[in-house]
Amino acid sequence: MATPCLDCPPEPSVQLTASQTELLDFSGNPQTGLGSHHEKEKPGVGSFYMSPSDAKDISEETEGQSKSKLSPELTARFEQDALPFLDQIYAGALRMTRNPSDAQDLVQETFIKAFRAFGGFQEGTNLKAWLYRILTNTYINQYRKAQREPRVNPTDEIHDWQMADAARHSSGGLRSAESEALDLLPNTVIADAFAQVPDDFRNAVYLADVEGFAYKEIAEIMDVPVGTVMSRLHRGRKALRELLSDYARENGYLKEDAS
Amino acid sequence: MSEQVNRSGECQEIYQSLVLFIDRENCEGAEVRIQAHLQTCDSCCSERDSLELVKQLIARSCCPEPAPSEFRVKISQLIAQIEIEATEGS
Repeated sequence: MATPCLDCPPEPSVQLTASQTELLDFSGNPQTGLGSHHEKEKPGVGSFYMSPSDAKDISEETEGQSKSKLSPELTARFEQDALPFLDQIYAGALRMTRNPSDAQDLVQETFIKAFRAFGGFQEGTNLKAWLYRILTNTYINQYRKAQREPRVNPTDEIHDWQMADAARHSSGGLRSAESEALDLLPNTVIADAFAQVPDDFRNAVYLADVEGFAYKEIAEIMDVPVGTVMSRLHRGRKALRELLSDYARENGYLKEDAS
Repeated sequence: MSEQVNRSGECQEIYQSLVLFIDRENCEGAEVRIQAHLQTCDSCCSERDSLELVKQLIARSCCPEPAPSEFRVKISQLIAQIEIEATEGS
């Protein structure tokens, strides 16, 4: 039996307009056999008009090159278009760094890099995703290096995702009792548990569930294949659910013999 | 309800697509088929609810925290400064 989507015409996702789909190309192939429509889409021309290496190299751009691109018009456009995303980027940075001081440093650097590179940003493409991409790169290159936190091996992730735990597909009664209990948990408990989810997984989940980015956009932002995004989402949400279930059980929200 | 007993084949396939379904990443054709399956299968419905719940919990717990106003001012000043330096230098 064909997996979902394989027998359907290749259409853009409901979340992307046709023009966005053209602009948001992802460079890797999906690694899963789940038949997402992404497999059929052709790579577009440019991704935010900036290749992954460009985004990483912003910090290494020479002063002379970056200065030559600046103009009062560009500054005005940056202030009008990019600065309104400050709150959202700050909230994202706060989630990454987990403290306001580091978040401010990270956002400051992100906006300075973005401003210097803004001449290369193609108007009409997804500016918020472009800013998130710079934020993510800056975070990975500087903060995480400083923390010496190892990156997760992408090949492991994909393999894990493909092994999607279908065995869990059971015990509906217990699952629903657990869900009811989780729904009662206060936001602070959920936020604390979310902070414990490993970096790469947490950031992918944040981009999907809080910022509402599509898989392809997250793939662009994190500079990984869509299959890896799916894996990170799966593992991040699963990890959070387990943390919350443990909390619910330990704190009387869920009785052990709920089944 | 008979669907529930015989859920090895189709459920397995639907289960694997439920994540795409809740993230609205399926194409229309797949979405229609999943919707149809969900109407007859309590087990997959419960799995869908469970996946959706985690998504909702995350969204509701991550309340937007606005950047401090003095920080906003600082960013604007930095950008203005970079522009002035660039203009003077050229």
